Amino acid sequence: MRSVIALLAAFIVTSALRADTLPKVLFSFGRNEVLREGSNRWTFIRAGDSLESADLVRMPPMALLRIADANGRGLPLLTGARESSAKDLVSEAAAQVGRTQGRRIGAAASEPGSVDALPAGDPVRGDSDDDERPMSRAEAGRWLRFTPSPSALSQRLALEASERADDSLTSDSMYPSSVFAKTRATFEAVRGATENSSGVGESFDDAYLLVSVLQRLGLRITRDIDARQRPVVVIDLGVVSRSASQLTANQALYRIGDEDRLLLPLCATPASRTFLEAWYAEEQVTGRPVPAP
Amino acid sequence: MNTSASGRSSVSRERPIIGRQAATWLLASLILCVMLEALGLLSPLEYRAYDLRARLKARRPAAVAPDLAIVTIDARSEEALGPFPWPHQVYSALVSRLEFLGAKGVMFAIQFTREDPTDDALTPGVPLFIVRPYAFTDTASSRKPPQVGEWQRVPTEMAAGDPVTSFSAIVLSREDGVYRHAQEKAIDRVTGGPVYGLELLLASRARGVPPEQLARHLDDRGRLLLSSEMPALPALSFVDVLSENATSVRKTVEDRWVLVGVDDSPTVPSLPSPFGRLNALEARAVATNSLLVDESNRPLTPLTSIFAIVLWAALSATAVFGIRASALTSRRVLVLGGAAVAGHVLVAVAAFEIWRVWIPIVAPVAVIGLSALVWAFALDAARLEAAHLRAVASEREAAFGVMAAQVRHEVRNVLQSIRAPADIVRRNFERGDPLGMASNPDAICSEMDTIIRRTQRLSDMVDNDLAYFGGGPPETMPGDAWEVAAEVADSMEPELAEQGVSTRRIAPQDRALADIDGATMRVVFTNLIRNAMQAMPEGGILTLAYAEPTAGTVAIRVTDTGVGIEADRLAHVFDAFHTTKARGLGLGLLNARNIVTAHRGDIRVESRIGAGTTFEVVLPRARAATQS
Repeated sequence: MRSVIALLAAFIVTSALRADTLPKVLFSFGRNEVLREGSNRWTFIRAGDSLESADLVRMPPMALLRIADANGRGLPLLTGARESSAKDLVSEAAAQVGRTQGRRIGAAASEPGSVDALPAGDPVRGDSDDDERPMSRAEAGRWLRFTPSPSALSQRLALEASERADDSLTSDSMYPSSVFAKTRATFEAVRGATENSSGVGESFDDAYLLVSVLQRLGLRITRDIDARQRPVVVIDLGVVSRSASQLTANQALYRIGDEDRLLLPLCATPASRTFLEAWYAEEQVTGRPVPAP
Repeated sequence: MNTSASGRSSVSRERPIIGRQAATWLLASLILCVMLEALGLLSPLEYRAYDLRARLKARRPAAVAPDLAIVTIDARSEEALGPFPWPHQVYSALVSRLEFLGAKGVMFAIQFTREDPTDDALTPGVPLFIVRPYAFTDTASSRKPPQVGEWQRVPTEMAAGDPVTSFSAIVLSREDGVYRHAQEKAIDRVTGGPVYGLELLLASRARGVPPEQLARHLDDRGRLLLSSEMPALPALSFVDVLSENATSVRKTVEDRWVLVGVDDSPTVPSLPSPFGRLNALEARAVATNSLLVDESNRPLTPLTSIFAIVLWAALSATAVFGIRASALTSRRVLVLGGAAVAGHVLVAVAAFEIWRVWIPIVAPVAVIGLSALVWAFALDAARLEAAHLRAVASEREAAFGVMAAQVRHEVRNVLQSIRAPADIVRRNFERGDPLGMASNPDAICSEMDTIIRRTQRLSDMVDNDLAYFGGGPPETMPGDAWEVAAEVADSMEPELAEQGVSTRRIAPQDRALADIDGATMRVVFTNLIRNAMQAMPEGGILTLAYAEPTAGTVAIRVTDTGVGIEADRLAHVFDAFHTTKARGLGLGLLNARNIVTAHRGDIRVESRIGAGTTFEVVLPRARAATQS
């Protein structure tokens, strides 16, 4: 009996200590999600949530997350599109401590006039960038009628994507189907290939290449044009909609196709540099109600 | 008939007096008001009036909805997001959130140096202006826009690739340190051209109109008088925009511009304003919002000044017309002035309500009100003076009538008394000299002496009693008043002796001189000595004494040992025709007083029944040396 009580007490103390040392979320903006260790269901992150080291955290583009380390010390704000474990997030945030984001100016009247103003506009991704240019009618027709032809590049990229899909992080145990992992690996392989090349012809060549590789891998895809007149690749994940919670808690990130099939839309323009960017780029244009985080 | 003739005469006498006095007082009031304004003593009152008005307006629902909301980087935001400044993605997130919630555009009043030059820039889908926070400065005291120096130039990024030169300043009232104006225009110290404030430029870009068009809201010093029509601008914490429910945030920012800035309140004291205390960000927001919704209060312009002056001139013209029509009373002037003041206030209120033009109230009301008071005062004073002149004239006329009767009576008596001895002599010889005068020349001489004495009396009466009605101002020169009095006493010595009056003289060797006209002063002392002599019919002692009652005066006292004067009569001894004697006009003492008064002196009387009476003639001492 004594040993049972001692074990129980030890368990309670250990649990309490463990709870105290978990990193906590201080602030969350955007539809940040977490896939808890041992769970196959994504949930939204809220301020005050605790994170396990092995929890997988997904931050959409434009999302912000501020966490406190195990000692309760507030860490610098994390930004951007990313998907990594809580442990890695804490490490990354801790590494930024001491790296200031800037220095306030303008408080004293005697300051010199030459100051670095907060930049407005992006010289690379501005409105004049061809990557974000809506498709013309001719381009849209060509995109929708496109039939991929075999090429050495697509064959090489398909092989590369298959190898990447074997990554444990994107295995079937974590996502609802292997299609998601293959799609992600394909996108990254194609983006890597086009980024390294120079002067790849038309601005939408990346999209055609992505379609070619995905079809070479045997995935069922359709082509679409979103509300912003951008080319979209819609991938059939091969599962029904009830598996969506294994993919994301954000209902704006997927579509439901015929026979209740779960579809994954990806914006195929080169402006989306990462898979998450391509995925979240379609979030706001699906036209479906977005639940509050 | 006589009455109306007198009325016309009164009006004709009043008019120049009123005109002269009114002109003097009006000029004085105008100079006073100009001095008060020039010294800046009216401005605080003007500001108080403006503040009062602003507070009254603030109690009512705002006429125009604000077009600007404030998002503040405050302590709560820093607690949630970490110490400011933050990565650029934070601002991107805010902008995209505001864009999603329907904001018209975003104005950032924050600035910091980037440590990491590879930081992503903002890519907003709405207009985005980034400006520098306020630099604090005091107001310039000149009447022109201030000059902008190098340090005040701001490399503002109003939009990508479109830098402009601007400046930023908070202007506090010089008089009381209250924030009522936003300095929105300045002069470039180098080029001499106009430079516009950031709020004006923001509003200009947001509304798509040139800055010059918005500059019509500014006064001649380039200041924007803040609108009192605006309610408190809606405000949110930075962190609330990112984390609060979308519906509540949307209510605040939808279809509005959003000004994002740092709450400087821990380091910068809040500014007192007519609308309550404002921090620097709110101060900028109020000015920007005024320009966005085109609802600033237009300040004093030369036109409004001219309006106030015209109003004042109209009042004066009305008053002048009223005087010419001889229908204006002081009460009517005050009513007119009150109406003009009320009219000005009403017009000022109407101008503010309709055109948002703030017409100064205090200075014009002070001018109009003061002028009305001056008019009324001048009118009363002039009427009073005219009435006094009429009374004096009437008194003179009445006195002249009485005097004529008295003189006729006196002269007839004297002439009859002169004729009587002559008749005696002539009848005596007509009847054959029954009185034996032919053989007794002394008898004839006696009658002749009587005639001579009585002729002298007539002469004295003309000299001493009727002097009141003639002669101009005395021609004074330094002289010894005592000597004049002594000479008079000497000349009257036979009469005094005949009446049994002995004289006593008390005077020092060194006597001060007085500014006197010897001839007229002789009349004074003649009257006083004769009066003393008549007070002692049974004889007595006449004392002449010299005194210096004060440092600047000389006094001659004439004292008798007569019967004295009762107290109730003592007050009237200097009145005209006041006499207790069977003979005489009762003008002697009046003459004496008038002559002494004309010498800027004074004459006093003291008397005790049974003891005697003392008259004291006090004269101002001459500036010349004393008489030895």
